[in-house]
Amino acid sequence: MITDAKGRYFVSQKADRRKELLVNQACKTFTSAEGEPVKALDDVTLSIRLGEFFVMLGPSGCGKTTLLRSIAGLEHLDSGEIYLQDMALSGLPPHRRPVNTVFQSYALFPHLSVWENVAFGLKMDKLPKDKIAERVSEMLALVQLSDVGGRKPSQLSGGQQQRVALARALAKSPQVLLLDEPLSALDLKLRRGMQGELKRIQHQTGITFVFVTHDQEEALSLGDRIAVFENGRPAQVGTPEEIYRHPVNRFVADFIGDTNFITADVESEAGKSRIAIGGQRFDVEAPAGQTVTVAIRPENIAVGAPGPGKIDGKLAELTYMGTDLRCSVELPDGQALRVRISPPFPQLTPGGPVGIGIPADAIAVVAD
Amino acid sequence: MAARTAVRPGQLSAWFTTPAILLGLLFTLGPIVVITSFSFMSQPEAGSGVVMEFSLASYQHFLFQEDFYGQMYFDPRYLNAFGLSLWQAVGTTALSVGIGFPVSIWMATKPPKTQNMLVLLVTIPFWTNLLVRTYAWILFFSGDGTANTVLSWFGIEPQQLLYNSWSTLVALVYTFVPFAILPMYSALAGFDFRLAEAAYDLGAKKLDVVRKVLWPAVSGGVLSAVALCFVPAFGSYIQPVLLGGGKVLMVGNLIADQYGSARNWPFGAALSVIILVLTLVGAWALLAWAKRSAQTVSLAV
Amino acid sequence: MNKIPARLRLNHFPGVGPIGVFCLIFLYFPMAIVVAYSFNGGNQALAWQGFSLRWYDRVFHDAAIISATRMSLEIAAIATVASVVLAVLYVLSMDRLNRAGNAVSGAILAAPIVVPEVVLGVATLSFIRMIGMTPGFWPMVLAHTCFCFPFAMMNIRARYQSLNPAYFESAADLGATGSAVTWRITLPLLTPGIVSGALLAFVVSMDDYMISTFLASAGTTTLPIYIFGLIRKGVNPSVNVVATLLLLMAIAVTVATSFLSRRQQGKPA
Repeated sequence: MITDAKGRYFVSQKADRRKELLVNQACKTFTSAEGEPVKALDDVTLSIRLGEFFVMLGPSGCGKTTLLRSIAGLEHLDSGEIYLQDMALSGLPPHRRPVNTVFQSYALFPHLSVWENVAFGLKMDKLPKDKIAERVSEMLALVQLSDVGGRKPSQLSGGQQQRVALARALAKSPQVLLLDEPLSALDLKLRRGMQGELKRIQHQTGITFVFVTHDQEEALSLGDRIAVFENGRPAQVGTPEEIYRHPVNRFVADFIGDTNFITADVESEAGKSRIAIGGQRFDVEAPAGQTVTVAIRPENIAVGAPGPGKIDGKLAELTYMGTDLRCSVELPDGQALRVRISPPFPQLTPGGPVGIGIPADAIAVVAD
Repeated sequence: MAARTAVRPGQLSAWFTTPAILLGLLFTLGPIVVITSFSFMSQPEAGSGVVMEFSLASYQHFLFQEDFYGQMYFDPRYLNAFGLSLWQAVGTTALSVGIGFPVSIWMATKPPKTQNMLVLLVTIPFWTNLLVRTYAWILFFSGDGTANTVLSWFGIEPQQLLYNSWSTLVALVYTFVPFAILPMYSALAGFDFRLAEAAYDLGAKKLDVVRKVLWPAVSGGVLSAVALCFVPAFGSYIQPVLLGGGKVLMVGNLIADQYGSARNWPFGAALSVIILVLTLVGAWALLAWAKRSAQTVSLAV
Repeated sequence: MNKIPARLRLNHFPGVGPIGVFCLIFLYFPMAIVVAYSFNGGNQALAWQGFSLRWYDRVFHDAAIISATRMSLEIAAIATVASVVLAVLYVLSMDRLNRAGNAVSGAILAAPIVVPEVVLGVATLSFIRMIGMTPGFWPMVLAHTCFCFPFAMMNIRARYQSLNPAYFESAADLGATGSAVTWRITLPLLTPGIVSGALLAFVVSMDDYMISTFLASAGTTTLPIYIFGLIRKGVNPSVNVVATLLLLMAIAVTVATSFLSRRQQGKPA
């Protein structure tokens, strides 16, 4: 892989485009209802590895759905290219792209039966009848709906409709399966079940899944890798753990999980950059003389009786949540930290002094 | 950078609008253009049709006649027909909307299933042949018809109830009441009557609630109703001819006569242009008002 | 709701009930009389002489009424098919027009609803003469197609706009070419709108007297033109029967379209 100065892919050699779905410098501008141009995709470059479960995560309007639709061919890019291995997708109409989509609304054809819905794509490929029948049965079995083939979509539950949409999109064995917030219409319980199901099907078929969601928990539990989108471009791409533990900026840290943000001045000490939190010093990778923001996850902070090696603080609030204990502690400089403590719970008195322990690796400097 | 249109699978190219537009150009716009040009042409010496010779005579003919000595004098005959049309249209509209308003409120405050049923009952006359609806009143008002039968029970002699502007008005109202009810009902059907309850909680009086909460919600519907009654009532032909019996001269039959027995096409064309301009100005004003006050006004049911 | 006294409640309007009932009676009573007298056995339209179907028998064997009905049905059938085909093509392609094209074509095509019928009638006659055609069957068919078009189009457009665009997108995504999407997805999903649009266009065509009367020739007397002539002479037992049959048609069409529109509303997306 060759990257240019800005860290973007530099597309020059075919050899670079093996085994990946590559989005190269994609731009797309919409005109809003007020006539203002809105950048939906702002120079997006992304490499999705074939065979992985890739999640595009972000708030609504961040460009993730536009990118998905551009891969499917349902949206034209203003500029930029999309390659699937050696094949340039950008110029192809949707019906000639080897990708299939599971729509947020499922878009099951209401006038066709479940069986006919799943068979639709195969019929379009003019496959022989017996091949179609075989494949449809196989797909319905894969999503465990073999007995409802004759029904109309309107006679199915939401979860069942979801599975039919999945079976229909998988029937053509696409190289890439695009999923546009497919679980958002399901209730929490069904959703959890379907997440497991999707993971299983992805493993079983080995097909690349590109999954769009605004739900960070869903993204963390499903994705092999996650791209967090902000204002029309991915702010960070990485494994769930990388993104959770080392968010690159405040937006990512804030969007994924619960985070404390602390500001501190960077000082130079014995040739190293350090910051002080409540009198304790931490090594950071930032030039001295700057003020930086650091993110600390609530579950990484320890709270107990005051003692040596701990930061002196005050317990402001305490809430018992069953599986964990949530509290708010005040640092000597007045900044507040939210803390989540797992059992066994220490003895704590609201209003009383506490000792706060922050492990060195719990601190991540984030850009604003 | 030229923004490309979104991908819309299954849509046809813009060329497929051509047949419909061609038909519209030929058989809607074409006739209007032709009749406008006819109105500025001359009447042939004999027979129907026009002579291609520019003339304003038809418009003059609307207000002035030439007497035996070639002197022009003001003749209100045709203006009276317009006046009568105007009154009939105003009366029809006022009565239709006046009856239709409470009826649409009655319908909108019923349970949903009853509402569907009532809409159906109002829509059936709407789609019933206009001649059938007009004929029903002829049967009702005729010499030995139902109205006179009822009168006779009270010892009243049979009356000539047909062939006057009152029977015409009744038939017009009968025709246009559904036109009035449907738009007002559809404006009210979306009205959340709980809004009114909230207003009461804030201490409003009933009249205030009707004026400040209900009226803004339905005013667009009322205006649609006015337009849908007034425009066709103004140009009506069948009711004045069949129930007015030729004694009620309205613009509609005046125009038709010019193309029929009177054989004065340019004059008929001029009358058509006048009524067309009035209609279009009215429709335009209505839509402009609707746009300014952000109301939904529809010119079709 | 119970906190507010009935006299203050906005969904409680004293007096609207009686007006509503009166209005329904006003709408149906005159037609009820027509229907009742259509079963009259006497020779007079209005002198009741016992129940009989003899006037139905008469009407069904009246050569003039039969030929006028056939003429109306022929014109309505052609105009309905033509206006529905044009409307489907228009609805499926109108979004591709630019803003101005869309507004102008929309205004021209909706004009027959706003322009007074008499004006449309004499204008079309003038136009026909201008281009050298003579009144008769085809000018009538063309004019009917034109004024049926808005009714067909509005129903089909409403249905099309209510459809989730994802249906078409997912069909294309699954490999359907443009024409396959149109034939296998769009048209089947448009069907309820097409059927109700066609029914209304048919009724509008069957109903028309005003425009037809200017465009008819001696050989193309439609049913409304024929009945108009009969009515002009006064009440007539045959008209009672024809009117009842036309009323039945209106009821059937209204019930059918209302059923179709309610079914398409109730369908999950």
